[in-house]
Amino acid sequence: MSLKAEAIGLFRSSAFRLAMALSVLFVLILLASGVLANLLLVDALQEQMDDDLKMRFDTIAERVKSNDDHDDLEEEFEFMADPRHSDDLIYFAAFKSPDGRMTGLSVPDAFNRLGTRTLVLQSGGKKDDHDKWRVHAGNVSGGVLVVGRRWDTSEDILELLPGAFMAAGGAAVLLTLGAGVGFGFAAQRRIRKISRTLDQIAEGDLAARVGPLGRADDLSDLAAHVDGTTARLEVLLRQTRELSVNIAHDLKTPLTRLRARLETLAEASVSEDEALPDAEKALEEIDRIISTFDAILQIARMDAGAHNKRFEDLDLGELAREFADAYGAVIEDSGFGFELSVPQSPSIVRADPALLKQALANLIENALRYSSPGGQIRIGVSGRSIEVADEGPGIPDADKARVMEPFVRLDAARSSGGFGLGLALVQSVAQLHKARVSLSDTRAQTPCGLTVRIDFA
Amino acid sequence: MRLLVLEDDAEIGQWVYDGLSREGHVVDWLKDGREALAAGTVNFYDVLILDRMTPGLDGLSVLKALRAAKVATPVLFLTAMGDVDDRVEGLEAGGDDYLTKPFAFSELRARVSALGRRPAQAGSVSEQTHLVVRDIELDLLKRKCSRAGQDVDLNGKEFALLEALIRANGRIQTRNMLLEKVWNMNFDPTTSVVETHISRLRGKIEKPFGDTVIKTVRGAGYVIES
Repeated sequence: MSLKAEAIGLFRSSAFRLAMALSVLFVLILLASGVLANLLLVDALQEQMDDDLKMRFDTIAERVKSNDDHDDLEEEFEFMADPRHSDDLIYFAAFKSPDGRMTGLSVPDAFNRLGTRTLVLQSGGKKDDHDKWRVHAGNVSGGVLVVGRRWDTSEDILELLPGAFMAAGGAAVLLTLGAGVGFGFAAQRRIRKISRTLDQIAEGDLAARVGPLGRADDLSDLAAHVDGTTARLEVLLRQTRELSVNIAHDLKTPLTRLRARLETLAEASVSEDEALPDAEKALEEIDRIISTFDAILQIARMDAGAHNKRFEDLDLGELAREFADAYGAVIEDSGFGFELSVPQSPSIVRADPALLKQALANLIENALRYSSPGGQIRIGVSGRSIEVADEGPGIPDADKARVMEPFVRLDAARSSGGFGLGLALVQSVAQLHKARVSLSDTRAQTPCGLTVRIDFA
Repeated sequence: MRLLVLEDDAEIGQWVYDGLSREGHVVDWLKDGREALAAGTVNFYDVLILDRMTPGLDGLSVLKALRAAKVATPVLFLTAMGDVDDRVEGLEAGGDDYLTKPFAFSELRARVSALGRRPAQAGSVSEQTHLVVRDIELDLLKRKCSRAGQDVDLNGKEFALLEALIRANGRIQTRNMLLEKVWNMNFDPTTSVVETHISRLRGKIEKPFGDTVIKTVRGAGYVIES
């Protein structure tokens, strides 16, 4: 599998998707709790600050009260300076006496409302968070006293908070995704094992099993179910196969006896001329039945994989020439044109010669049976494929797949003799060789003819 | 000839026994593999006809035991139908020929006859470079055929076909035997491969000379009588 396909597979894996979804959910929760924490913290900080502010306000108010004429207030406010011109300042105080005299800082805004609030006192014209103050204004000795405290220091904590949340959240998301990728890969490997096995089963290998998948979880449960189902299917299919094989085997002995009796009859009736053709006809019919049973047994054995594969290197061109030798004369004498097209270079495939020959003979005999008079029959080899083409009525596209099944009958002209097991046997032989059989029209005009091609992998 | 038949099915065994006896052979018919092994080791037979599936000891095991005991008698196997592997297994174990059930008696007769009259030294015939029957001469080295001194131009398969018929030395060759020998086909094609080539061969070897060399034996096969 390519890296890209692997990545796509990973992205599509359920474990990875779950990790992604969890990450998103986690980030959302983190954001919400961050916002909530921020709000609570702001509240708590403000409360604390306001307590501190009140205490300081009370202290200064005492001094203001003890200073009747308010003249020396500047001294009392010694630590105060204009906050707009000093960044270091943390507190400031200002007093507006009943006669309107201002002491300390001139912050007119601060006096127009009593109570605690937040004010922005600009310094140097530009606005920044540094200029945020918590201000308390109250009536003292008939005048108004304002005490302020810079937000600043406590604000730092609030600035750190989102950063801390982001860092923690980011790390958590990365970890979750990392774990997701890890679990995804692990799960994907196990799922791939299951799907590979299913592919094998689909190809007809019912002995394929997923086997143990490690940890006991839903995936290994699934694998166990797949294995259990396949085992059951294998048994059922074997029983079905055995049934057909047993039927064929059981009929073998009576067929042999019947054939023997018929042959005796045919030989005995040599003297009585009129009995002979019937006996010979009966022999022909029984031979046809026998070859059908032969084919059933052979297909069953091949499909069951019970066949001992006697594979060897074989040149398709050589095989085609051999068949041209055997069948060329037959084809010509039957009134058809014969054509052999084989490339100069050999095309070597691994094959069981006996089975491949039989498949090829079936194809040629089909062509002989269905070709239109005067038509051309062609045996061709190209690349790693061999094909037999005729110019008979052909098979409609809709029926091309169906015709490979055993005992299929089509309603068109082809059905006269019935395909019986011919193409089914070819298909089984091809499957045994991991080769592919394809049917196509030989030519565009009618009759379009049929080309059967066996492609070796 | 003296023949041993190992066949457990009563009716088929009887049919084979009757048929071969009628041909003038002396036939011992046994139904148990162990008896067949004992008989095959003690008595001299020309051909052993062994069924694959028999009680006591199966045909293949009988053959293996006989070959281990240095009994070289030709063996004809009767195999179950549809089992290509059985045939190959049988031949690999030292069987000389096989016949798939159900079979025609003519096929059995022809094959038994071919096996029974095999030359003692298998090499002697194949080392010949010339085959002659009547006025037909085959030069096996040059792959040339002549009749009554005239060259007859045969293609590869026609030559092989004629060679097989001449080598049979007056014995009938069935269609299947010829398919195996000449075309290396171990199955029975429904079309007339053999008939077609025989007919073409006749066109070259008989027609110009106006007589019959290759005789068709109805329901059995072909023979060139010397």
